[in-house]
Amino acid sequence: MADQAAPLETEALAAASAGKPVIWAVASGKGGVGKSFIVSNLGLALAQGGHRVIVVDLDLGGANLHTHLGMRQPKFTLSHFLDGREETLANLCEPLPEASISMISGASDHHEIANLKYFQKQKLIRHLSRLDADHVILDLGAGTTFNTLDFFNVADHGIMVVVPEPTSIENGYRFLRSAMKRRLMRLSAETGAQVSSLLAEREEGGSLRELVGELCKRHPKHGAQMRQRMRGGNLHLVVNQVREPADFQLGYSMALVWKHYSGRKPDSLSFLNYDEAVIKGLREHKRYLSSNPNSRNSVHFRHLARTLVEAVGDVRS
Amino acid sequence: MSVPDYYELLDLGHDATQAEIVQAYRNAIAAFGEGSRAAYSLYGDAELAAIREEIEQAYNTLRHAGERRAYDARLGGRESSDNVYYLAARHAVASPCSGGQMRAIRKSRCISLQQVADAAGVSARVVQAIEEEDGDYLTAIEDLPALIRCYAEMVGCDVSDVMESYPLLNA
Repeated sequence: MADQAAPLETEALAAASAGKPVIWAVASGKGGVGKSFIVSNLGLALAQGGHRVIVVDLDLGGANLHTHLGMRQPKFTLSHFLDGREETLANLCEPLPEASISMISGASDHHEIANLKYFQKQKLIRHLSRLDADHVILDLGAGTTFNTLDFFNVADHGIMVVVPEPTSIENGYRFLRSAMKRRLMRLSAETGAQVSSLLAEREEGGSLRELVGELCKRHPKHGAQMRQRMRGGNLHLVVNQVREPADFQLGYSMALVWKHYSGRKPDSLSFLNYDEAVIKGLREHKRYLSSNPNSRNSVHFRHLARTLVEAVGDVRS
Repeated sequence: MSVPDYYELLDLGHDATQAEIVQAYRNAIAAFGEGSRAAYSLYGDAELAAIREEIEQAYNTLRHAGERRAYDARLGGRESSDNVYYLAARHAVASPCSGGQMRAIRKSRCISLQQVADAAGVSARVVQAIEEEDGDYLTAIEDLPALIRCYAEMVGCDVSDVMESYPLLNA
């Protein structure tokens, strides 16, 4: 399994360095925290900033990105690509009329679509890297299936969305730990064996940072490999549905806590407010950013778009 | 035995000011406090208590100039970590930006009026006028946009948010 996982990242890395789209993966661990809301409006904010954007609904089996973008019945879905009816992802792109943004819908009744086979996942990742856009934003499903974790890990930047509730925070950390474990599976067999043996010795608890530190002490070469592996991947934290000042402090605290646990700080931290206009807009099939251009959240989305574009610049330099 | 990195623990650069050290300590204690929401499911109570002890040790070393000097000498030539987060973060400012919002952000970072005034080369009264949106008092300022920009940068607000919607710049 570890060997099978290796080619996925190599392809995406090669694409990124060849001037292809920056791929963002938006995850949450728990459903209902606003991933699709964020993917659609972040995409709109980037498009309004002059970038060419494609948003992709990878919530296979639970897709609703098209609803947030005010699009009703998508003509094509990822099913068409995955079962070979369409050769390229470009054929599935449905553009929005007034902005440089298109959508690839995941809506489907195909009950097997939520469980991609390995070769289908590889094919999808290859084609995502070939899309003609500046930014490709993936709306991942909730939960920690291998496919979801792999899409998160193979993206250039991962965006973790939480709401200020214990279940969301718990599921968010669970997702990040699982994604990190999955990433560590791609260590060399020798290093992987050392990591497994160390994990078996430890009691429940203890941070990833301590694990790396211990491995570095015992086997510096393997420790260095593990540290390097953990450093890969850029992580951005978004706290959605903020209602009170304590929720801002929570976001800052989560950034500190994750830094202490994993050894690496998130690359950015952003906030979005709870807003009843979100549900109202969905009911009326209106895009939030377009209908509420002066709302606080619209300011936050523009700020988020700028922050993320700057992060791309930092990574590339 | 290697020297623990107190700056890294408190999420500070090696050139942190006293105000930054105090603010970082408060944030760290909040993050790793007993029953912290942010630490839920990652750290248990015993682990949080141990981390808080380290934080207290770090803070008590860095807050006293003499102890900090001695500690810095023990650190040797170790460079500031680029893993520092919080104090580098810029606050988004909701539109319309208000002086009151910016004051709240300044205070949350333990930055005094005088510190901003010194950085901008104006009096503390001028900085107060910015936060009170006192247009009459600020008519004497030759280059108000430059001053507002300096204020926003010093205090840690998102500069473009402020320049776009601070009322006295967009009347």
